[in-house]
Amino acid sequence: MIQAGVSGILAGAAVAMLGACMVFMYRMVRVLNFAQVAIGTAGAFVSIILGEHGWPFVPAAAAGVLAATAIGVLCGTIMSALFTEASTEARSTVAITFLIALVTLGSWIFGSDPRPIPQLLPHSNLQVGDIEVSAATIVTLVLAIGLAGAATLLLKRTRLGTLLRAMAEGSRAAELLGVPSRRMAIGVWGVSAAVAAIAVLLAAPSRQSDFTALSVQLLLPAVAAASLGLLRSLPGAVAAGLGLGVCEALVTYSSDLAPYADAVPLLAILLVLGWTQRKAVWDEAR
Amino acid sequence: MKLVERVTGGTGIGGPLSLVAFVVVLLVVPQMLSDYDLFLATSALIVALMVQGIGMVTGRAGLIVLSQLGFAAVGAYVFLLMRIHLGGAGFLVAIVVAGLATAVVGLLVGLPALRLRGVNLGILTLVFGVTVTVVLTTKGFPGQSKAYFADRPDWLVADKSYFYLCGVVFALTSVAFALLDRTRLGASWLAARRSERATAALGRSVARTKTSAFALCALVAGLSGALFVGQQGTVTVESFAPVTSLIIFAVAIMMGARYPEGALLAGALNIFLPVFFDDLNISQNVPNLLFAAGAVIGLLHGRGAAEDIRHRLGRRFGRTGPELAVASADVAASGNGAGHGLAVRGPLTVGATRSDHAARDVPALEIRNLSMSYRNVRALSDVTVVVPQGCVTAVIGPNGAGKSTLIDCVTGFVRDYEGEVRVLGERIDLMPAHMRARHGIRRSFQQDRTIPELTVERYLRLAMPREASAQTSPEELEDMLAFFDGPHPSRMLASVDVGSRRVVEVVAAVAARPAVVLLDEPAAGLAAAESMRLAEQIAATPARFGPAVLLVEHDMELVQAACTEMTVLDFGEVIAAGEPREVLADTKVAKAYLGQEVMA
Amino acid sequence: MSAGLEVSDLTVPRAGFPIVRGVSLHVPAGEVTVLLGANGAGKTTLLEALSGLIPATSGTIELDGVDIAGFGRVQRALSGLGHVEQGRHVFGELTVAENVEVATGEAGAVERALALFPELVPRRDVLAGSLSGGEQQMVVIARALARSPKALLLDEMSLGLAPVIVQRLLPIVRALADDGVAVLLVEQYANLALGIGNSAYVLNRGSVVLQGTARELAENPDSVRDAYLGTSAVTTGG
Repeated sequence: MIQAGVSGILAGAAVAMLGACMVFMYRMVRVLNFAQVAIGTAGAFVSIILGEHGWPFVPAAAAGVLAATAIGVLCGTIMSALFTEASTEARSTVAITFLIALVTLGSWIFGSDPRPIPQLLPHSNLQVGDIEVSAATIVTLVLAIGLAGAATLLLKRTRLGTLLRAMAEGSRAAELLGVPSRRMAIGVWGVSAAVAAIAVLLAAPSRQSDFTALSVQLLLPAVAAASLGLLRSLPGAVAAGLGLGVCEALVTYSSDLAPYADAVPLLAILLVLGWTQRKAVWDEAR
Repeated sequence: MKLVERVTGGTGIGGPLSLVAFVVVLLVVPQMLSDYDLFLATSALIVALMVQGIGMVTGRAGLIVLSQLGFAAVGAYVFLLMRIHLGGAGFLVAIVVAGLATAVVGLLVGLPALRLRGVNLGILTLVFGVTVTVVLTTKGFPGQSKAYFADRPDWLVADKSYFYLCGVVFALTSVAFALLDRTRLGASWLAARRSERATAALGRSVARTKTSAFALCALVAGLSGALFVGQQGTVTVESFAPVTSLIIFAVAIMMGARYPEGALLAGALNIFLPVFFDDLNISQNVPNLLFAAGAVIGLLHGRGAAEDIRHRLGRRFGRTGPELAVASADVAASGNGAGHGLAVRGPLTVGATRSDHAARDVPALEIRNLSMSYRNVRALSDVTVVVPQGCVTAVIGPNGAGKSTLIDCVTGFVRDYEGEVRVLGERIDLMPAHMRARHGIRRSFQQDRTIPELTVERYLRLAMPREASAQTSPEELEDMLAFFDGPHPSRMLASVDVGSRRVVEVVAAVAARPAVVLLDEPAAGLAAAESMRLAEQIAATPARFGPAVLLVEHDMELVQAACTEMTVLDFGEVIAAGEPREVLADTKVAKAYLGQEVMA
Repeated sequence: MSAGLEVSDLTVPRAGFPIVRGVSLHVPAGEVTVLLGANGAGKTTLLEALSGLIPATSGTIELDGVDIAGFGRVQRALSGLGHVEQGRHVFGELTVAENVEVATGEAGAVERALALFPELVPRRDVLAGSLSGGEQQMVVIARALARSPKALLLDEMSLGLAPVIVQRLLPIVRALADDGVAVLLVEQYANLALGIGNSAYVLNRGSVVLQGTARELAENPDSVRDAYLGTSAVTTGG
């Protein structure tokens, strides 16, 4: 039981990273990036292909992360060029079209057959009492918490953070003060894409392995984690991602409910958002 | 929500003529197509039906829905359940039941939409759609294990007949949706997308508005799911993949799903484009990329291709387009200052006001000992304001004195206050905002909250209770608008400048014949001459149209010219009340507010 | 080339419809230039075109002799053009100090910017969104000044503020100009604005219909009113 829960931490931590990325983007550049996971998956697939061609792990992973960054920058550039003043909903719908394009291109380029995904991290386990914890789990967990913490500190403590928060509140007002909002927004896209690629790389070995399945399967809990973080809190999204991972693992462990493990995000969203938003009787328009 | 921002210019073209055209096409098409193409055309109709649902929730009510295939899967499931397990229900019966059952599911999915909005709703519907497919992957469709084949009754066996059936269902839903568009509910969808508060202030229930949109959306998706099973004979979950939901959503955005022709084109594109590319030996992936790009273009233009065509045709036939409106709004904002005098042709309009049934000495509005705290800050403490019938009472006070909070409490948009609010003696504290509006309390907003897609007259009639609307002739409305220097009732609100739209909002509040009208800074942005004119109009409102007025304003000159009673708020407390002259002489008032004015 | 902002023959469309038509303005350094006009005359549109928020179709904009018409908005801001938009767009979730830091990272900039508004000093670590309207307006001005702009566009800073706040803000604007900034002031309280102004322009339907020294215009309210075309907004606030 506990072992099952612990094994859910790996998936949960990757989901946490993806969810935190989505929250970060939502806060900074007003978009719920439905394409976040697909961008990361594209990067991960580049790494995998390069690995299959005999590249060692580190350069392959780096190339994949770079590829994801490039895709993120491209998406961000399109968004800033065409939809700067559009509503969050319209921008998020544009992100859906990115998702469609990426999934289409991804399955076109990488094929729709599942491919074996190499375990990128050394397969060593840590023994804590009766419970085994894989190295990947620890690395992913540390990365998820570390990155969310670093991003929180960056936003609170540095001038760049101040500029980012100003841009998030009013990119136009910030530009009038000489802040290069557009470039910073594209940067946010790039960085989030890089983190997403790392997350997918870490989570991929334990998941289904064709492009579309990976993009969609991870998207669901990631978007749920972002939503459970109320699209505002990075630590909240990380906690939600971990929680979802563990819950799904536990549901899978109890064999009766196992087929319904993927319904956990829906229940979590309904419960948590239903409760936190219970007073949101009216929309923002006044 | 502003997913698709710009407004399409009315539904002038279409109606019976396009229905006839559609029926003709429907009859001709099967004669010209090969069996395979006919099969595809049927699929296109089925997808078009589903797209209509997106047109309902996204196109009309402005909410994101990413679960159309999830709904369709529910419809397919119920259909098969009916056909196999429930004594082999009739084919058509099973289709209808599938649609209705899915509508119930849509209603349930719509319930969270009362609290979740924007992208959160997108997340919820996406997750719902995926969950449906996950559950069905495990459970399977009824009869799936036994390789059941959903055979059609004899009269539907021919592919041609089945094509007709799908065409008829599509035509029926199109007509139904078009008829609904003309009802109050239809106008409410557009209102809710603009502002939920304003919708409730018109006396319309936001909950009913939103859930009905979701239910109708799910209804057509459920029908299309059932028709899909009938067409294919057998189905698997793969047909309802979540990514396909997103692609259909993108095609709907690309073409614009609010009108039948858009839905039809979206369905046709979604089915025929991949086949077309396949014939050319081009990868089937290309169409999906085109759909994504097309959706981006649709979002960029603020409307889909079909909506754009309708809009252009509409403009050609004499309607002012919104682009022009934007330009003229900027230029002509001050256009209605120097108009005709207060004398208006025709007799005084005396409609039935709620006040008629109440004794004259009962106040129109009584606010007693109202207190409200917001995050531990006392926003209002022990505020009492009484608005007698037939009077204009003003509430003034410096910025942050709590004037807007007071209006929000009284009209039901802020609920957790202490104290009592009575309209004509009846306590309304337990009522939600839209019920308060129906019980005789109407308000205007500081921002323009009119609905650009409607004509001025339709907006006014939406605001009026059903009986009042039936009793009021178009001429009376025109006179009323003329009295307030408003635009002509036949104009589209999108083509009216912002200043005039605010006038329309005031007229709407008055035309609803409530006991009391609350005007929230009606003179904001008006030049001095215009605001003095507005003062005359407000002062004349109770005698001429019935409702008492509670006026919240900044502009001292307007207040003095319009009101007979005055209450001054400062830091959430009443510091003076009474006749304007006495109140203004009060030194406390001078200190809190007027002193500043005098200094200037 | 004179110091300040030199605008010639500027035409700005909105939705394809020219809102500003062939406007030429001279906003010299060290002076307050007042821009008057009725609602919808095109004042805000003109300012937005100057700071690059919306594109102009023709005309030149020179700042201290440098043609900035081809610059983007960020570049214009970096070249020394400040624009305080109407509506007090503070960064509400940033503190007062952080609002200023957005404009410049220089050490001591916050203290210098807040020195003009002593009432903000005790509130420097308060979220700007929780300030009163008048204080927010001060933050917005302080923020724009932190970059030490060569020219400053001020759009309706008194909108929705009690007149007493306006009384407080206008002398600061005057002092800024005296320090050498070229100030272009759009103001609804025309008399107050003319009181601190050097010269003034009246805009009607996108064109300059009257210009002169501030004193000339202040002494001829009738001609100003005519220029507004029938509206008497010029008498408000008096």
